Amino acid sequence: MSDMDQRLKQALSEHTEGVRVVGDLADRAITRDRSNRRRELGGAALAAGLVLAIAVPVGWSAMRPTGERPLPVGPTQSTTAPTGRPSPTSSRATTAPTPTAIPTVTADGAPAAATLRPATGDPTDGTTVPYYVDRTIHDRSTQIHIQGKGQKGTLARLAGGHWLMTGEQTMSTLLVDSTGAGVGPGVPLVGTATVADDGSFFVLQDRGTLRAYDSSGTLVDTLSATTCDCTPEGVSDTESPGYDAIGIIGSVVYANRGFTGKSVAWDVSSRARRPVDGPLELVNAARGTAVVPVAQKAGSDQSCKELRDLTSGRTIWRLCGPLVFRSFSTNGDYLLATGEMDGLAESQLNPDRTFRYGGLVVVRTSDATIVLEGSGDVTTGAGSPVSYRMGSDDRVTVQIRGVTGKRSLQVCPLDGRCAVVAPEHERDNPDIPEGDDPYFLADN
Amino acid sequence: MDDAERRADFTAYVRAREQALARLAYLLTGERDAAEDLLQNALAKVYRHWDRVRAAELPDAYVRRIMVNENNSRWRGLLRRHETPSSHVLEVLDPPGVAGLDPTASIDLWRHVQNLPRQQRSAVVLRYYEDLTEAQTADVLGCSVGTVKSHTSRAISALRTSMSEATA
Repeated sequence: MSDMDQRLKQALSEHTEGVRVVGDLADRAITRDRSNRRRELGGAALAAGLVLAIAVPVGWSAMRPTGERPLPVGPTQSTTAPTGRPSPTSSRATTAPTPTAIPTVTADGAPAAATLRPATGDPTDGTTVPYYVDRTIHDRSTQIHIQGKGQKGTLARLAGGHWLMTGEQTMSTLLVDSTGAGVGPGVPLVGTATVADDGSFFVLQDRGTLRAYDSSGTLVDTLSATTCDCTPEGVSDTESPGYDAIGIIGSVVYANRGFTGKSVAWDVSSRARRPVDGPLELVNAARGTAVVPVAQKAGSDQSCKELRDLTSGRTIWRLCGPLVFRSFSTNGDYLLATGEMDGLAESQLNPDRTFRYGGLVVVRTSDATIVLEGSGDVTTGAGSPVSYRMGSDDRVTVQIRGVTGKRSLQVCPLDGRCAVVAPEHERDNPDIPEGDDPYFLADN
Repeated sequence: MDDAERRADFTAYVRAREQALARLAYLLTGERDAAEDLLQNALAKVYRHWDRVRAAELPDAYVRRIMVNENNSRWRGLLRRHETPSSHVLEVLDPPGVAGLDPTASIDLWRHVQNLPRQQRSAVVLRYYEDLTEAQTADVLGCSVGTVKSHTSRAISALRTSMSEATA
């Protein structure tokens, strides 16, 4: 060992002697995982190629989705599909005919037609999107105080005046009636919830098995992970990832089959199943459409998504760029996305290495036009969109970070001028970045 | 394994290994806040895949690899950049000094290590602090043994040059 080797060993050793763990690292890591899950929204991040930079056993790493599959036949002629973002260096939209003539839009980071302008002060408006805060569900002028502890995680409206809440950490569900009292079976239901738009039934996903319940919590049908046929070769069946529910249209549940890159349509009323080509990211019941990831070209850092009609299989458009879609508007007219994500290649960032897009991007589904964008102050984060949902009134309900880190709920029409719906509220555990946000917006 | 058992199992692992992991995070990043962020993000990913990580023959090797990959992803932390923690999980005290090593020279060397390109610094930390073999280091870095040799040799050469310039 050379003198330099020895000195190096000593210097490294010396500089770690003062390093001490003084907090609950495991608890903070678990909290961060929950926070990451919120951001990644399962399949969306995975399909975007934002898989975790994690070493996994060979059998699994080989099964990461590639999205390789034949493209459905598109329109016979190329169609112009403007982004609505004038670009000083190129056309405002890159519309390139592809071999299948799918209208293709490149999200190049040019300014959107409108920018989110958060408001301050007291509430001056209301929202059509129900939300939960402080153990109370707010549904327009109605307030339902939850009797008992409540659940912080997801909220969905069910038929018959019922509400479904799922705890983010425990994945246990709470079914309450219009008085806030618990209803449903005596045993706790566990799993990640996907709810039909009309609230007539919901599906809980637990370890790859899907269980459908009616709005009263009665079990209707089960799709066991063992029927998934999605265990990679060489991997034990007990490790099957099973199904990943993406969305519901009518009585049909759409779910991805593990990492096979294939999906299934499971009709809960008839119990019939049929295969669906390709993985899905989001499904919209109002228009019967889905966001589908496209295989990344070799050597390209750019990810692309397609909007596809699930009935005809027709691809409506393809959008390429650093966006992760998070939800449809209720009527399917818009898609909400974020441009802030981990793991982007340098080519997908601005020259100063900032994100091309902010935390909220609203895309019109008819032509992939980006109509509204929201981002906070780069230095302080004030004004950052944290979570959002868009109702049928073409207004986005946004939980927004204030100057001090507190969150307010605001409603923002497509011109970007927001109005406060609910006042600033402290996060849970505000001293750590992953502290829970106070407002939970309804999924349907 | 249900969620409670999984959480308890993961917590037990972290408690047993946290000092070593914290020190590795500090060496890879060179500063407290970045080390804290790296450690938590890496462990969050470990927790996500805990069933598979715990089944591995050498879970530490997986965790190291996740930390190095995570550190090499320069965009880590951008998503949390707006929320600064006010309660820290790491504390870093000034080094006490090592007998036989000039404190000034040690600080200079440490500073030069921090200025190395990330891959070279990772290779140096894994080889000289974690005492991994070249093959083990290659496994963690996800590269060939030849690349590890190259990273290490370039790093040592750069450190020699930097130190000799500093003392000239």
